Amino acid sequence: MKKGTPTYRNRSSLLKIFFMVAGLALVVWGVLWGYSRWNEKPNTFDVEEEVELSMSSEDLVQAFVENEPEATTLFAEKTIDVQGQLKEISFLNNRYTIILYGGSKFNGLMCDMNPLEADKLAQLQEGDQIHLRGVCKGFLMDAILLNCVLLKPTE
Amino acid sequence: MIRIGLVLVLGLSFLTTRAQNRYIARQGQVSFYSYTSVENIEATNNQAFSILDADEATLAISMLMKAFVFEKALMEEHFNESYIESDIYPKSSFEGEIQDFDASLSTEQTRRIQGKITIHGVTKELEIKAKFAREEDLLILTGDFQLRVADFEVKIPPIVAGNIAETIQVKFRLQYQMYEQ
Repeated sequence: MKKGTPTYRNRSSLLKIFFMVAGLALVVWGVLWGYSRWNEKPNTFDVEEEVELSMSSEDLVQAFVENEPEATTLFAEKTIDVQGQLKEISFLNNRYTIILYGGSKFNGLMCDMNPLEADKLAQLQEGDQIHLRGVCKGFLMDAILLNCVLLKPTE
Repeated sequence: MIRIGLVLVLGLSFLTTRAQNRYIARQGQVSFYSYTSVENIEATNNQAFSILDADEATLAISMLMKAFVFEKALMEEHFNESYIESDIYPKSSFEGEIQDFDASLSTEQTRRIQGKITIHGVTKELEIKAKFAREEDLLILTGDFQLRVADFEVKIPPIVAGNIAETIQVKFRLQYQMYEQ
């Protein structure tokens, strides 16, 4: 046998090493995935990414007013970009909330704001056109979006 | 669930015709706590909706289960999908009568509220001791009570039974303002 030619024994050892490394990599990946999944914050989204749903606050609210079960199926737990007119800003229970007009006297769009957005809210005034993104949760008197962030008007 | 929806709808139509002594809260805070030796779980809902009729001494509260926010996304997912089944039972509600309520009092008053709570499609009688306080034009309702998970047919898999308390503590704070047409 020539010197340096892999023997059956050598090949078997190489295979063992390969499977050990692959197995270890899989375990490490599993632990990292589990760790990141466990630490994932609720209602998060990427502001830079495009979202499938973009509409006016009036259209969103009226969709719930007209057919709440259908609108819940379509919009609940979805990240949505919304444009609308600012009705009011409130600070309650240590959280800022923006209310946008919803096309009727009794119903609006209630946007619970991400705490990191607090500084931007001081510049807003009633009647302003707002563009924001949040996670829709459903409808009571108002449609509800959580963890909202303001978007630039051009976005 | 249907009944509380009806109560809220009737309440709203009532508001349009007789707004005097009706109060509304759109951003009520309801939190629950599960404490065990394995882990503590807390969640808060800041969008509870409520109508209080001071003349009739009644109130109705409704909230979206998906609007409860947990510390971790995985907890929220398990709560909505495995335990409370929010797609099937999206709302929980309470309707009750306030005993000996006097809305004209400017001082704090502690009162019993007797009513029915509906969670996970199961309705139970509930009596709560709650405080009513005045802050300028606002009427603030605060209180807490306990609920047994098993009473609402919430199934907890045996493997995680130690992580979830059998009795959950619930706290609430509702800030009502006079309804103006």
